[in-house]
Amino acid sequence: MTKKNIVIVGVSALFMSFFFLPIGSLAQQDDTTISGQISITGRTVTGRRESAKFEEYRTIPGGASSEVLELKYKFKDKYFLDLRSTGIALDDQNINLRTGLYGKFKFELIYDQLPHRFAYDAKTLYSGIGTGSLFISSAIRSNLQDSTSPVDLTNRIANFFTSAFITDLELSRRKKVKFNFDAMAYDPFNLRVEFNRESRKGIRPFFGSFGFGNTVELPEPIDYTTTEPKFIGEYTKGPMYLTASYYASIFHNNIDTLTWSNPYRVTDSTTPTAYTTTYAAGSSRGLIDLYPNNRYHNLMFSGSVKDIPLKSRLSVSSSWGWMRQNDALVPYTTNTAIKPGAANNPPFDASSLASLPERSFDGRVNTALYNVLFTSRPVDIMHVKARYRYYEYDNQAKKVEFPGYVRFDAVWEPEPNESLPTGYSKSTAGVDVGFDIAKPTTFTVGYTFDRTRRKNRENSKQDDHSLKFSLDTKAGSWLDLRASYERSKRDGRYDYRVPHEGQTITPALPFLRKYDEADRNRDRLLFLATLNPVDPLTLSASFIFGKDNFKNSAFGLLADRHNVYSIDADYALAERFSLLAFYTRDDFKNRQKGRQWSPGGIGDPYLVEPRLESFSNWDTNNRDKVDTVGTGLTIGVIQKRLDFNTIYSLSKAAGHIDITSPLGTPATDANPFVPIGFPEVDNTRIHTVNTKLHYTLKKAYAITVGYMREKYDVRDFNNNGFALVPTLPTGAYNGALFMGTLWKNYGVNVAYARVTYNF
Amino acid sequence: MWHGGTHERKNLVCSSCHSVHGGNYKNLAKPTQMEVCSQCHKQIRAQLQKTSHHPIREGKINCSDCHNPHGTVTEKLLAANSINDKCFECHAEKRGPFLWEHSPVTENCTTCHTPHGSPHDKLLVAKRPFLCQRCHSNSRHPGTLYAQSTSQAGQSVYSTLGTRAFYRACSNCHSQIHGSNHPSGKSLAR
Repeated sequence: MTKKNIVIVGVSALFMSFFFLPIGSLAQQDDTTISGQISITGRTVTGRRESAKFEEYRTIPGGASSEVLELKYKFKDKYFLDLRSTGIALDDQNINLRTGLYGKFKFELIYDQLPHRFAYDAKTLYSGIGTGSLFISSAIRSNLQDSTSPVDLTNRIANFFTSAFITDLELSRRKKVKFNFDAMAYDPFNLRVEFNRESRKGIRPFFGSFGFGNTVELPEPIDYTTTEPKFIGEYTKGPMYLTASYYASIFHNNIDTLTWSNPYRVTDSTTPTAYTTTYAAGSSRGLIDLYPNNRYHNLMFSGSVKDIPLKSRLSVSSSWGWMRQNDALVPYTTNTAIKPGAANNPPFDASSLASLPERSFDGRVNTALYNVLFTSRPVDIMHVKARYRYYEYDNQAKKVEFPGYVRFDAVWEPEPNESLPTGYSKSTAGVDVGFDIAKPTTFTVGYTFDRTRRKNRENSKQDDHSLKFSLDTKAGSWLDLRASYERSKRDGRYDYRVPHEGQTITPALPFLRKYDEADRNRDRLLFLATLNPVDPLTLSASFIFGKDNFKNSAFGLLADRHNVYSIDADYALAERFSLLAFYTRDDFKNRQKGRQWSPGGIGDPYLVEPRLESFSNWDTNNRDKVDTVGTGLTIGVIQKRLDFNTIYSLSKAAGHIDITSPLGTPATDANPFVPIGFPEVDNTRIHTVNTKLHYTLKKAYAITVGYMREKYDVRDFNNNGFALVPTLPTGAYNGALFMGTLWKNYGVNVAYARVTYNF
Repeated sequence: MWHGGTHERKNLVCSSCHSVHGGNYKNLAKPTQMEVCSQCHKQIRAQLQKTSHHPIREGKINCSDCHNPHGTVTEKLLAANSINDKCFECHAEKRGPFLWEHSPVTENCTTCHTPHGSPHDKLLVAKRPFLCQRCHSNSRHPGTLYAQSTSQAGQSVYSTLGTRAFYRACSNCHSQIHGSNHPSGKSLAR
């Protein structure tokens, strides 16, 4: 018996003894009610489990585990205590305790664990996994640094990989403790206190590169703590409702930075550019500043009053938030060779903190939200809703000016640049008017105006006008129909130069419009019908059509449309028989356009080809089609004694990307070839079948036996030909080093038996 | 906020979602929140089954962790002042503010991510590198046509297109995509 199983059985036994001892005396008292449930499950798990995808967010172990432990205690309809736990001692366990006096106060304590698994058996040359310092021995790096050619490097590194470390990448300890307290005894005042504390620990896939193409996949250490207190006060009397709240979120990263050895270098040196292979030159290690500590405070006040003239109600709210981050900065680089003396180096030591213009970043964002909502029913057949909302994200961080930066810890780039705090505000005003044209039929027309203003982005001012019509009707108890259509038009002042003023950067394609800021016409159509032709049968069908046309975008995302069709059937004959089935198709299509170019070269939209047409342009049509099918059957084989239940679902995604590009000559075309598209883009299938037979022995005891099979397949172009040490067709190694953390196929069978005791 | 909210306007009443004799927490009319909500939101139910998803179908996140069906002051009945504020409740590390911002990140997480489910890794709305190239067609490698030629058909993507289209594509190098606090991190690679 494993240690985990001993814990499970031990906790279950303790829990059971806790119940059985007091039940005899307490249950006899008329004003006391005690009930609960204990269920223990034994499982066998077989099949291919090498993919962490199967247990991405859950734990399904072989052996014994407690499914549910539950206790409900009630005294004189005044005092209650509910204790429920699932998955005791497993990585996804949850314990929930609620207690209080009905109508007076309530106390809730929740402990929850959520695993998040990324990969099993990943391979790496690094030691120090889980810490902020990843290290490859000097002997290995010295050997690789002495490589004589990329092919020689390939052979050497492949040899070292035979003794690589094997590790699982997961956040297996994402633990959350929640405490909630409600006081309702002081009418008309209510008070609620919440306190959450979450810690997240583990390792996840991450990347650090030492040059263009020389990326190294790393096990990033995660050790976060987030603390969130919240206080809410409410006042309700007559037509008046007032509330005020304070919320804080304090994020602390217990590992500030990550340093990692350059696998190919044991000594520091600089390179003329960062394009060269890194065994020949570069830094001996890299440094990344992991997510900085931050804190957020928020104050909110709101109120509403009802029963004002014309059957109206007015609600207002305002909220102010403060985001702060002032972590110490790290130096430009850890490469000690980037210092005065050598050509192209800066006039200071780039690995020294003293060389920075600032020692820390004083990040400050203030947010504000104001909201007014007015609803009214001036006459019986008409209702009106008017609203105004203003949200502001005011980024008050000061610009920090840098004389240059170190690219990939390898080379000083003397390109002056400054940080640009981005911010925005959004005002929304709208009115909806609804008419009850016949008693069960409502027709509503609405208009909404949005204005977005941005700081340090391309589109400084953008307006969005939207008109919406909807119809909701009910024909007796057999038909429910909902339909709506919305058309919106977004226009703004787009200037591609704005965020880059005063900076030396790789220039943007001037004809491109970023899709979240681009002018856009949007259409949305929704239809939902639910039909009950005969009593046990419910049929429903829905259709959603969406189209975005980025009308002034010559490059970037040009058009995006999606259709979603869904049908459902549900047949339920008393408690003895029920059958359900559904099918949904999501169909997403979009088109985008780009241009391949380099400054001063073929396709340059500033100097060489300042026009929309170019042989260097390319065009893609992307499509994702997802079919989801589900069916379920429940049969009461022996009434209130033996039930059979089975559920099957399939989610099948098929994506492809078609690519075209006009064909020119090497003198006129930056991509002078006929491109072929990608026929397999995240093509996945998830089959799940879950069947169980539930037998109630007596009122208190039940046995369930079940079987679950889950199968997952994935085919994707960017995983084709995967290797931990990928090579070029020449056999040469270009510097990339992977751990093998993309999803893998699996097929798992779970057979289980569960004993449940209800009391 | 019920009055004037989406659900009130659609003529929903308490018993549309709750049952006095429901027996479960909040007296829901169905065993789980997901089942209650998917009575009308059919397309969301299908999205939750996709390969990349939040742990909703595992029962670790409920619809009401993000939405308040009784009404809120934010679009989509979000129980927060903005979409980003809601995401930061679980992803507080991405709140920043950062020395080097990725500007769409500060404004709206859903520009790149779709929260209910996606066929693409990390709940992305489209496949990398093409998602990134929707906005970045700058000179040099952001604007490059990442496609094989007919003569390269059948070869691995890495050997023909390199790390920029292989594996996690742009994120292979630009790993600090949500913002960087590193003085050399303006291209979000440090």
